[in-house]
Amino acid sequence: MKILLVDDSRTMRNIFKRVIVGINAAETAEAGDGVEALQVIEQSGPFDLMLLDWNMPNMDGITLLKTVREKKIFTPVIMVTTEAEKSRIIEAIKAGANNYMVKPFTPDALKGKIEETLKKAKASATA
Amino acid sequence: MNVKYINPFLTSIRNVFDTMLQIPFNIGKPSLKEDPVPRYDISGIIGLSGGVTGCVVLNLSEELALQLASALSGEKVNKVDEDCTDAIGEIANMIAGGAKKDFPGGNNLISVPSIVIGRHHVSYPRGLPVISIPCDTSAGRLVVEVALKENFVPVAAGVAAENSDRKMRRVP
Repeated sequence: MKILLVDDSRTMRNIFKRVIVGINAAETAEAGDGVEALQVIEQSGPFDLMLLDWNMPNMDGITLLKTVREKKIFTPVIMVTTEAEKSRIIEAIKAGANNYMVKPFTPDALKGKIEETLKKAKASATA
Repeated sequence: MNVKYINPFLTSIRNVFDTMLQIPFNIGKPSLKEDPVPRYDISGIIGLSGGVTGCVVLNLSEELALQLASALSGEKVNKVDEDCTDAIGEIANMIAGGAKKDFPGGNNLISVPSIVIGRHHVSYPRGLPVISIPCDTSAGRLVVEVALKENFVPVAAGVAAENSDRKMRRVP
């Protein structure tokens, strides 16, 4: 399994990695903004899951999400962001996010979102 | 400043400490900040725009920055380096982002954080009162300073560092 972690905070990416170790993910890749993420996807994709921050320099998370969906890349995406307003959540879901996690979060809460998202993606793929 | 814009910060600070830092803390009474000079050497600054304009500043000492960075990252952080400032920026980001969801009006945007280290001053939006929210921990006090205006005319919020031989910013 390959998971792409996109967040401009290295601290947050490390927190993601610690959570992912707990669910036995095989491999992770990282990007600090949307532009870098597109390069990583092109070079190392496809990924089984993407954890995606919203507010980032160069290209923000919602723009990246719209871009990858336009490219017909349907990697499951969990937005992990401080953007907590209902309007933002709706915007992300409409843009193609599969799940949404508001920062701050507990490791267990993020782990639960990841497992839930992967389970739904697997069920959808086999349907 | 409307108290409806301050209470969300109290809730958000509690939430960040309880959820991701998990160290004992005590939030004090908010007060009007009289002195424009930050009390401590490290500031994490977030700009807000949209329904409100202004900025939020997380101001703290190096000692406390190291403790909070260690608490967030889960690893001992021994010096004020990029890892430390990255963690402080993320804490500022979570406090500001968590607060804005409870503002009376919507459509508010936050900037990526900027971090300044050393002797500095913060250029708050002109003419706005700055509300200071103290938060005490075993490693010292951090202060969350809030200067917001409920209008739709962009107000520049920036920071300048003075006499500092160590300046670090997260590149926006």
